[in-house]
Amino acid sequence: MADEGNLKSVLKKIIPNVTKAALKGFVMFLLTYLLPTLVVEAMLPSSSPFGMPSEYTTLLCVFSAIVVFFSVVTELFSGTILQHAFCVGRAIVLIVYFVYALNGGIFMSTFQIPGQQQVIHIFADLRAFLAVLILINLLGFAKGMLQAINFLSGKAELK
Amino acid sequence: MRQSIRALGWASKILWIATTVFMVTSLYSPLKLILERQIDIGSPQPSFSNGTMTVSIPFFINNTGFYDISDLNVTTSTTDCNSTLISTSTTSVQNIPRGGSVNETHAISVSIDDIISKNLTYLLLHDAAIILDVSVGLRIAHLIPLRVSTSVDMSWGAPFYNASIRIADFPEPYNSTHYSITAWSSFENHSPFDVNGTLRLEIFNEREEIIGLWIDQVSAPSGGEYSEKVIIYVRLSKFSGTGEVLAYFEGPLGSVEWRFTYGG
Repeated sequence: MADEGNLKSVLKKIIPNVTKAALKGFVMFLLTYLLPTLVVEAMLPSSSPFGMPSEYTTLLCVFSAIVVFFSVVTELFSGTILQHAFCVGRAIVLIVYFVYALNGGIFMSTFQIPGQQQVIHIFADLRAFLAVLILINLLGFAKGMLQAINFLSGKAELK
Repeated sequence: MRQSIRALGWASKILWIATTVFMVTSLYSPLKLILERQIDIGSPQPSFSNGTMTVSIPFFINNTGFYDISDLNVTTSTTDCNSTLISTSTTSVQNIPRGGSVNETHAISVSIDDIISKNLTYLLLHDAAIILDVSVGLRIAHLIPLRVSTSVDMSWGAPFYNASIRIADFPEPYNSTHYSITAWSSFENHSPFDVNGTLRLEIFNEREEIIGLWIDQVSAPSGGEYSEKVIIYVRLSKFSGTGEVLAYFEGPLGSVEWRFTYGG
């Protein structure tokens, strides 16, 4: 009887968290993968010679996976110190990801015009963007740290 | 503490949205011009003056993008198959504001003097494959430098293709002091320009003494041919049967000279 009561209370605690995590994960998947893919498809008609290179599709998948994973785990572990640890972890992982994905801020791509031998090289200096993206994630990192400190000090006060 | 955490959260969210929107729109902006065909490149117009061949390429850009386009640089470099630089040309446009347009002409100039000084005279006499490197650099929203480049293989048509001076093996006596030599002078003009000017033939004997001279106006339209049978009178006493012919062309295209041997 007591075990059944325990299980019920645990389930009562877990189920909302799992539901929230699943919902948040789904919304994040929509925002970080489905929406950008649809936007790119809308911007570039199928008749145009330009398309998203496969390597960037992979990078977008990885970005979406990182965001979805950290959204789910932070929600699953909400109310614990791990939630804030994952927030800090997400900021660090995203900084590394952006530095890698944007090739240190120097974007270079080569594509061939269909039906022609001509190759077009594109070079863009995205260091300004990279700096802003790193800054945003440093803000996220600081926020996570402050939340962790706040959480621990709140716990200490309760004791 | 909670307020600062909230402030950081909002700052982070606002920056995320602003950066994402700006990044997507700024990178899509130049692509939009291409997809909407707001960049038009006119047909090349060849011309020449003062020994310089110029190919003018007019272009039009209507900036229907989301941001200003600044520091637009169109650079073309022409090299031969041995990677020897033939010419470099740059056209710059300071700023094309959003909603504005620009009409410019990019001129690719090749000077005959440059061709001669760079030891590329074979380009005047033989057709060749040349490589045109085109590079377009610009700055989107005064912030993001973007460069697009490509290489185009082109064929070069020589203005004096297959130039030759053929001298008859047996000169005929003209009078007591001179021989008359029959020579055939010809070339094909494969260049996009008309070749007009003066052709001077100087005949030297094997002791490099000038023994005969012929001057005439030549005219070969683009894609046309020049072929002329000429009679040159040479001094009987100095004619040795072998030597060199110096062909010297002078016209708006510039001055070119080349040598042929005869006899022997």
